[in-house]
Amino acid sequence: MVKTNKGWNISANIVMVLLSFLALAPFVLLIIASLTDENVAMTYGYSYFPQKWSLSAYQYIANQSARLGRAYLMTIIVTAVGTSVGVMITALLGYMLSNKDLPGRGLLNLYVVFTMLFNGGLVPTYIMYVKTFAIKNTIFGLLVPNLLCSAFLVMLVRNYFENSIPRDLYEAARIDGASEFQTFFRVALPLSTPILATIGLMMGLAYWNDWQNGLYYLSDQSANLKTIQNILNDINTNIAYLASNSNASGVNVASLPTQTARMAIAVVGILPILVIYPFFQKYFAKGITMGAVKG
Amino acid sequence: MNQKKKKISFKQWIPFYIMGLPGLIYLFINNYLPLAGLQIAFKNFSYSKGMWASPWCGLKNFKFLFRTADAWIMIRNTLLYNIAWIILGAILGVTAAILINEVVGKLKKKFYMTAILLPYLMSMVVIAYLVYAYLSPTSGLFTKALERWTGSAPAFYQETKWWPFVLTFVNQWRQIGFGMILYMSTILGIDPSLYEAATLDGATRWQQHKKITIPLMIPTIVMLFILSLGQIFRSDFGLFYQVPMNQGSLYSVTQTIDTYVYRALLKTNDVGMSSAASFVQSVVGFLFIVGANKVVSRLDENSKLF
Amino acid sequence: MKKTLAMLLAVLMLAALLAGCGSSNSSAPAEVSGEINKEEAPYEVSIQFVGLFEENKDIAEVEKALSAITLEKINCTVDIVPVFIGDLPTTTSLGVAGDEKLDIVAVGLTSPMDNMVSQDLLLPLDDLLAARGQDALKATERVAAAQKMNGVTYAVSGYNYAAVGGGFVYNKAMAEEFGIDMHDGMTLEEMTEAARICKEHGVYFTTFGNSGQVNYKFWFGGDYFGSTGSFGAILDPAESTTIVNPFDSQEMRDYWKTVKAWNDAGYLPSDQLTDTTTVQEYFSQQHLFGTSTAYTTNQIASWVNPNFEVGLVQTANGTVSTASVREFMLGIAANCKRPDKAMDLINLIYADPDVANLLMYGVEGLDYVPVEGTQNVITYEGTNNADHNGYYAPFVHYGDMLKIKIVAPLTDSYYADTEAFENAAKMSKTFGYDFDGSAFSAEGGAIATVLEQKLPALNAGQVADVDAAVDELVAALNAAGMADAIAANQAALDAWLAK
Repeated sequence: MVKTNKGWNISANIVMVLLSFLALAPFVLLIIASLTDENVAMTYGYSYFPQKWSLSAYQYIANQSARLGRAYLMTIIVTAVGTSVGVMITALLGYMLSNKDLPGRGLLNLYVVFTMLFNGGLVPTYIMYVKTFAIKNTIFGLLVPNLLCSAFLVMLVRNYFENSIPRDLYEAARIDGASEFQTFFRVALPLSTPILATIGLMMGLAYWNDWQNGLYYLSDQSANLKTIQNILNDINTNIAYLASNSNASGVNVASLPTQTARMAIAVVGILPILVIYPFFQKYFAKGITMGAVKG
Repeated sequence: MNQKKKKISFKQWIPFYIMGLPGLIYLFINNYLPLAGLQIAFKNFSYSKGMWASPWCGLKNFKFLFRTADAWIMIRNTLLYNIAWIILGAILGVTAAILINEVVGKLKKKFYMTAILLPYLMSMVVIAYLVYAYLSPTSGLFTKALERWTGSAPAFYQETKWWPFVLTFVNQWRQIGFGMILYMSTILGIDPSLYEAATLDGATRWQQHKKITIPLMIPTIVMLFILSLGQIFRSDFGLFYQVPMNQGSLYSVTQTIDTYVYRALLKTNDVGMSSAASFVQSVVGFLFIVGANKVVSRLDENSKLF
Repeated sequence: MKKTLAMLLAVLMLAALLAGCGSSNSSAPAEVSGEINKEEAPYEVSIQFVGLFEENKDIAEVEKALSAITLEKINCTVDIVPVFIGDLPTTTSLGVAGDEKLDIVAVGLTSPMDNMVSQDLLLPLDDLLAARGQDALKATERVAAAQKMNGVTYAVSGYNYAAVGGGFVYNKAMAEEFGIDMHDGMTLEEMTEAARICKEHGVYFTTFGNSGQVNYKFWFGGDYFGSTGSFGAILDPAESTTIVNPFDSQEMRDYWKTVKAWNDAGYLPSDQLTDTTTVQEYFSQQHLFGTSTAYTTNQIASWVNPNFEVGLVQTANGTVSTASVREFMLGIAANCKRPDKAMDLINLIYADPDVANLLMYGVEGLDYVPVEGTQNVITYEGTNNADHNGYYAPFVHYGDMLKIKIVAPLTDSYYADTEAFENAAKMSKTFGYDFDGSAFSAEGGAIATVLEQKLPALNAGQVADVDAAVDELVAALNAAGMADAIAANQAALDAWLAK
C-alpha cells in the first residue's frame, strides 16, 4: 500500500495483538508443559505456573541426542532439497497454465485439478514407487511421493501470474528478443517473490511436518533416514496402541518418553521454523511490479 | 495455408509446454499411475495376488458406509463443518491479510506473522493435549477460570453442544495464519498505482479496500472456494479424532466420514473398504467441483478453473 | 467440456495400462525336501522383531551370535528386522505388496492371523512343517488346531502353553502398607473392599482409560469372536458352545454395575475417559494400586518395576482358547523367496533353546546375566538392557516355553508351574474354531464403531444408568447387524462341531 493510515494502523495493531496472543498463549503453555515436573503434570495437569519445574524432559532428549540429532539433520536436508526443487517445478507449471491462449489449457487445468480429487490410495502408489522406481529406504522415499508438486500450489501460482503480473511486461520482453525461458526467469520470477515465498513456505512446512513418507518408504531402521516427525509419530502410535489395549499386557514403559518429554520433542520440532521464518519473511515484501511497469 | 499458420503458432507454445513438462510428468507418475488402484474399491484385495488378479466383489466394500444407523449424521457433520469453515476461513483470512498490510513497522509485522502462524506448526496430537489443558474437567485452565467467575463450569468433554464451537475455533485458530499468508500474497500483487489514483480521487481507506482490494482478490477467493469444494466430503482426521479425545458421547457432533472409516477399520485394516470410502469422497468432490466451476464460468468466464 | 472429459479419460486409461505392467506377484513354490543343502551360499533369513520405542543397539551382536549357530546347523544367517508395534500391520502388508524381502513375519498382536490370511499375506505351512519343521510341529502339537484356518496351518504359535486366565497386578508395597489382603481367586466384592481401603489412603484403585476392550474377561474369561467380541462370544467356553451377545448378558451388566459403583465412590480417577496417560505409566509412577491384566505364569515378569515390588493374583481360571494361541505366532510371508530356509529357522527356534534365548533376550553377559543360584533365571540388571536399550523384546515370544530362560522375579519353579497351570486350565470346547467374518465385513465395521463409541464409558463406570446404557448399546449393535453375525457364527460353529 502506498501510504499508511493512522486509524487503520491502530486498529490493525489491536486485532493483530489479539490474534498473536491467542496463538502465543497455547504455545507458551506447551513450552512450560515441557518444563514441568512429570509427577506434577500427571497429578494436576498443565498450568502456566507449575508447582515444580524440571528439566528432565530435555534430559531425555539429550540422552537420545544421537537418534534425534540424526533425525534433525534428515529433516533439514529433506526440507531444503524438496522445497527448492518443488518450488521450481510448481512455478514453471503454474506459469505455463497462466497463459490464457495456450492451446489445450482447459484440459491441462483439469488434468492438474483432477489430481486433488482422486488418488489411487496408498497401496497402488506404494507398489509403483517401490517396484518401478525403487525408492524404498532411500532419501528419495522422503522427497518424491506426494510432496514434490501439489495441484493446489500450482493453482495458486497460476492465479498469481494471471492476475498480478501485467501481460504487457512479457510482451515487452519478447519484443526485446528474450526467449520464453529468459522471460520467465528474468521477468516473471523476480516479480513473483510474494507467491514464491508463499508456496515455498507451504511446501517447506509440508516437508517439515511430513511423517507418512517416512512411515511407508523407510523400513530399514539401520538406514537412519528417519526424520524428526517420523520419530514423533512412532512415539504417538505406540502410545495409542498402549492406551487402547491398556491393561492387556504389562509393558515396561521405561523406554517411552513421558508426557512432558513428548511436549519437549514437539517444541524441539517447532523451534527451527520459528528461527528461520522471520528471515524468510522479507520475500513476502512487495515485488518490483511498480518500477517495472513504469520503466 | 491455414495449416502452416497453425503450425507456426503451435511452435511458439513449445517452450511453455517444456516448462510445464516436469510438473505434468510428476503429476502423471505420482497421481495418475496409481489411479489403477481405484479398482481395489470393487475387489476382494489380496496382497500376494496384487490388484489386477484379486477377484471382483461388486459393491460389497461400500456396504459398511451405509450399514450404520448414523450414516446421515457423519455425512451431515462432514458437509456442515466444511461449508461453515470454507466461508469463515475466507472471511477471516481476507480480513487478517488486509489488516496485516495496514500495520506499520517491519519488526511488528514480522512478529505478528510469526506468532499467528504458530498454531499451524503444531501437530494435532499436541493441539489435542493443549486443548485438553484448557478444557479438562478437573484441571482445565479455562474450566477453572470459568468456575471462578461464574461459579460453575460445563463438562466440556461430555456435552455435545460445545463442540461445534470448540472445533470451529480450533480449526480457524490453526488455519488463520495460513489463510492470511495466502491472501496476503495476492494483496501484494495488486498494482500500487491503483491506490495512488484512488487517494488522489479522495477515496477513504475503507472505500479503497471496498473498491480495489476486495474486487481484485475475488479471483483468488473464488479459486480457493472451488478448490475447497473438492474436499467437501473429506475432513481433517486429527481435528475430529484427537481433539475431542475420541469421546464416544460426543460422536453425534464429532463423527465425520473419515473418523467413521478409521474406527470401523481400525482392527481389520481392510484396504478394499477404505478404498471404497475414499472413492465415494472423491466422486462427491468431483461433482461439487465440476458443478461449482460451471456456475462460476456462467457468472465470470475469467474466474473459472478449467 | 465433454471433449475435455473424454481426453481425461484417455489419460486415465493410459495410466492404468502403464501401471498394469509388471505387478504380478507369483512366487513359485520351492520344492520341499527335508535335506538341508550345505553346499549353497548361505541365505539370510529375515525375522521381524516387534518392539515399542527401544533403540536395541545390540541387534548386530545378537545377529552375529545367532548366525554363528545357524550357519553351522541350517546354513543360513539371520537378519533381525525391528518393527514398532503400531506400524506392524502396515509394514508387513506393504512389504508383501511391494515384494520386498520378508521371510519370517510376526503374526498376532496388532496384525491378527485371520486378517493376514484373508488378505493373503501368509504362506500355507503344512508341507514345509512336515518336511523340515518336525521340532516346531512337536513343540506346538497340543495347540496345532488353533494354528489352522479352514484346515490349513498358517503360523506357528509362540505360546505353546497357551492357557490364559484373568489376573490383577498390584503394587505389593502399597498392599502391605495399607493392609490389603490380596490372594488368588479374589471376587469382585473382595476387590471392592480393597478399592475402599485404597481410597482411604488417598490412592486410586485402578483406571480403565478410554479403552474399548472387554475388561470383563479378566474376571470371568470367555472366548470372543471378531475384534473385541463383535461377532459374539461364548462366555463359558469349557462347558458351552452357545454363542451369545456378551454385552447383553446379565453377568456383564453386573460387572459394569460394580465398576460404576467404584467410579461413584471415587475409587477411579474421574477423568479416566479423557486421560491420555496409560495405566502402565500410572502404575510405574505409583499413582494407582493396580490393574486387571491377563494371568499367565510369566505375566508378572513383564510388570517388574525397579522401584517397588509387584504382585499378581489370579482372578479367572485359565482357559486354552484359539485366541490365546494366536496372541503371537511366527508365519512366513507370502512373497518369501526361500520358504524352506525360513522354515529351517522357525524349526531351529523350537529345537535349539540357545537360538530362542538369543532372540528373546539378546546376548548373555551383554544384555542379561544369569541370577546366581538358579538354573535358568536371568536378570537385566547391570547390563545394556537395564534401561531397555540393548535388546528388549516386550511383545514377541520365541521358542518352546518350557525350554527357554526366564526373567526374575520368576524362579525355576516356573516350568513346573506352567505345566500345572496348563493342565488345570480348561480347554475351550470350540478350540481351533474361528469364524470367517469376511461375509460380515460391513457389519463388522459398523459394530466396531458402535463398540468404540459406547464401550469406554461403560468400562469406566461413567454412565448414569448401566441398564439403560446397556440397552442402548445392544440396540445399536443389533442395528449394525450383530444379531445376524452371531446367528451366522453359531451356524458355522454347529457345522464345525458336527465334523
